[in-house]
Amino acid sequence: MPTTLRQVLQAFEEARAPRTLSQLARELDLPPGMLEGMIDHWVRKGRLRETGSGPACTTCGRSAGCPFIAKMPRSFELVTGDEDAPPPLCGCCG
Amino acid sequence: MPSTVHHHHHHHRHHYPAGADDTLPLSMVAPGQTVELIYIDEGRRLRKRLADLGLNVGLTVRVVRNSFAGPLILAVREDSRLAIGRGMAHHIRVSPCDAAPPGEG
Amino acid sequence: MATPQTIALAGNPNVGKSTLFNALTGERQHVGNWPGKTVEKMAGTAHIGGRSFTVIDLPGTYSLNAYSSEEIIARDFITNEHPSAIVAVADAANLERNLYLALQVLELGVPVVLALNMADTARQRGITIDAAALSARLNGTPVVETVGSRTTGLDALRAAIVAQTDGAPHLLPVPVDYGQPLEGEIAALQAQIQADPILSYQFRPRWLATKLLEHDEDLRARLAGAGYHALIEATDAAMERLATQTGEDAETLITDRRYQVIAGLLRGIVTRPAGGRETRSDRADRIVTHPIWGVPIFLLLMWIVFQFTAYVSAPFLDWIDALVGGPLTRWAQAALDAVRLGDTWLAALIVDGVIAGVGGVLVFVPVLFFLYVAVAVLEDSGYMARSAFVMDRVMRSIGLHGKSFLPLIVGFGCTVPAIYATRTLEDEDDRKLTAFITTFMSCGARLPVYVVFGAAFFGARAGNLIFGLYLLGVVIALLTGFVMKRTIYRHKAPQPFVLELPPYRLPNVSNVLRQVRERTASFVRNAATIILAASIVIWFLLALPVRGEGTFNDVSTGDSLFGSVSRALAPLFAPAGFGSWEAAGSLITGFVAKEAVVSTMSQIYVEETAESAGDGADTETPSFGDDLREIARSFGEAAILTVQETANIVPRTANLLPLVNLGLGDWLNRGEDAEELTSLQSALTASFARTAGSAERGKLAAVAFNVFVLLYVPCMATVAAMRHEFGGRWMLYQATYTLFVAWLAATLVFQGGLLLGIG
Repeated sequence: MPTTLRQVLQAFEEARAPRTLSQLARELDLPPGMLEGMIDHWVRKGRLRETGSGPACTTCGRSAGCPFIAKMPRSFELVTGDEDAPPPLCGCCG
Repeated sequence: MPSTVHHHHHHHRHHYPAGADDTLPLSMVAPGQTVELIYIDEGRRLRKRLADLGLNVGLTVRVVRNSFAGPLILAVREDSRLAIGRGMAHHIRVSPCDAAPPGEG
Repeated sequence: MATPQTIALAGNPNVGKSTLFNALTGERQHVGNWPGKTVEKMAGTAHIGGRSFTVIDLPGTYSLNAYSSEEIIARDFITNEHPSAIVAVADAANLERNLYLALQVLELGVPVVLALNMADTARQRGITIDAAALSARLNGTPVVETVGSRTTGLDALRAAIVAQTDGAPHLLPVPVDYGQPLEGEIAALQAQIQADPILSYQFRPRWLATKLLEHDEDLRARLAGAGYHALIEATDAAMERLATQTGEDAETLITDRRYQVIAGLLRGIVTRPAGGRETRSDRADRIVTHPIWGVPIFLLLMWIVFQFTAYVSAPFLDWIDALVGGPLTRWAQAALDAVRLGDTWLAALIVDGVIAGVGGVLVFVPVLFFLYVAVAVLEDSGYMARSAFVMDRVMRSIGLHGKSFLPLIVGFGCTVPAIYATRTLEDEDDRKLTAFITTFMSCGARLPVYVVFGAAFFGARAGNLIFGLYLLGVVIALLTGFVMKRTIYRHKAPQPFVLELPPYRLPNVSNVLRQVRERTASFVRNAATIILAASIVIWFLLALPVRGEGTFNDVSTGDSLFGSVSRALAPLFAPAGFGSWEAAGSLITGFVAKEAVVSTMSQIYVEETAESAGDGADTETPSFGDDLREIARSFGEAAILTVQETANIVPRTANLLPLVNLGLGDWLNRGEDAEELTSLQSALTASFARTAGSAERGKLAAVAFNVFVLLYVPCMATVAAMRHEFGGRWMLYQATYTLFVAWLAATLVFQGGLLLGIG
């Protein structure tokens, strides 16, 4: 039985922390490209989001995340209702 | 310093290949070799952590770098490279694959 | 000749679709826009076996749902224009994902040719695809392997296109079996659509039924507009039934089935070798991650980065500095004179406060620009993860592991995100320790200070000072970690370490430029907000007299409120050699943001600037036109010198080797001694020499001052971030510790230097 979209979402629910694409692909034994497509589905549905894609800090308000974060492996996380309060002012973006 | 791996009794024996335990620690595999992960010889925590990373028993990996010190680089699947600490590699028991096994879809 | 038949290329982004399009159409192309959209439309003509085809390159998409305008364009084209065939272009190395779109094209009921493009890359990686078997599973849909950049497979592709468009019935719908209960609902909706002649003419009924169940907003809106309310209600009811029956929304169910169909189609057809073959990336890693060569390579790359920031940026820095200090200040003064504000305190605030302060920071934009270019190139090439790998052994000696090095690298840009980047570490103690030491990594805001001092005191050897300071930051960070590991964290077990290493690649120019733009913009934005506000506040504090005879805006800076407070603190820094009120004052404002150190200095020394400008014999003000011509001329020169200094990185780096002494390029015949100091720089050398006792001692004090700037509390924002992440107590420890270390290190540098007989 191939991995279902539901199993992909459950993997995130169990982890409760960001998971990188390739890590999860190994765990679910899926080709990374296919997993990416499946994750896209849940991102569109508003259940997952790419880590660091939210505003990095309040003053910045950029939607694309902080430009200073170095290239880390792409990872995704569960969108939960009770988000952390956004970090306070970040001097780098002014 | 060569590491001695102690064989405890709580190993998951059912992960063993049939017959004798002809495994070796991943940290002793030469670069270029392809090996299959057979079992993790230490506590539940490490096993859980490795599983989280997708390094499950039964997985086949190729060792890209293994020097006398420092982390190892593994090729997992054809497109993913993973650095893992030497300490972890001591506890992963593997068995060499003779030829590249047929991949799965 | 008959009207040419139309074929279209569809595929995911970045699968080499355009290359294939070019190969098919050659020179016969024209570019336009899709009606009403900004998306580019590529059309061309292909002549195959005596027939001619109009070839359309559809926008790259991942699906044919209405998620983006590209997807709507691609879908509308296929449903409205009824092309004779679609070439579904797929990346052979990523077939599982690419087939998702191809499958949707097949569901539309159009003849399809599946092109497995970039087949060479897939083969290199050891992936094998049984194209014939795949074609059989797709009911005879031709499957052709192509290599877009070469002509490999093109003939086969052309033949397949001809075969699919020769008029014979080639509609071989690939049944995507959605299973129950989906199939039941699809059949019911399909029947309803078939009953309507217009709808069933326009759309393939089964396809429309599926799309409606997927809650396709675009199609729903169009059907609602055309009055098909009954159909939409029936769809809603069906979706509701599916949700209650399965607990999953219909869109998820349908997407899920498609992936399962793909997995089934490819089972046994695509094989991927476990671990794969040795790639070029692996071969590069043999050198770059070598246990002996790894660290020297890392240091060499860092060295080159600082060559960029110190020398390559210098020509444009001088250009902007001359622009701000000369014409811009003159123009502002002239404008203020014109509205009769020239002699008021407002003019002083604007010229001496805002232009000197904010301008004093903005002149460093070129420095930050070149720093960010160098860093972005390293990041985009995939090297950053390797640096973490290389540093693993070093990090282990302080109880951390290589992964902790990544936030430290972020710290070279800005400390605040570096503190947040520690969230990628799983272990709480690792996080705290990493954040604790991350403020010692020299951020971009500290760089202007080093550049000013480097040029003022060390001239052509400024790069060594800068490189040395960055290195010192790393060393202090590691020493701190080392001590903490042996004290408060002595029982901490080492954490397991796993890190993804992305493949190396040539840096993508647009990626690099985007990052450089965003990062440089944040520096500029900072100057326009925090530094602007600080400059205004400091101007007022400098204009308010508290001692002596002065009145508001007519007081020597030393007698101002700012001067008096700074004077009270100055003795603290006397052991480090820079016990002047000017130095103390700029360190106080540096707590707001490190850029403010330079902006404050520009303001404090503005008095001298004004005087020295008045001393000049040529008091004749150049005309506006003269100014513009001079700006353009010096810009051209700066551009030439930038290229020259980039080339000079090679001899400068080679000269690190013993017995190598290559000459540096000097294309405009400037010579070494032609280096002119800016007014701020000469004021600094004079002031530091005065405070420390001699010119040589002044140099020593300048180094000590820079060491202090490097190590003490980076800025308010960092303190706030530290508190947000680790609580007030940890923040307080950290801030106190950095102040102490900064003072101690600065004092050691000065006193140690004196003991060694310098100065």
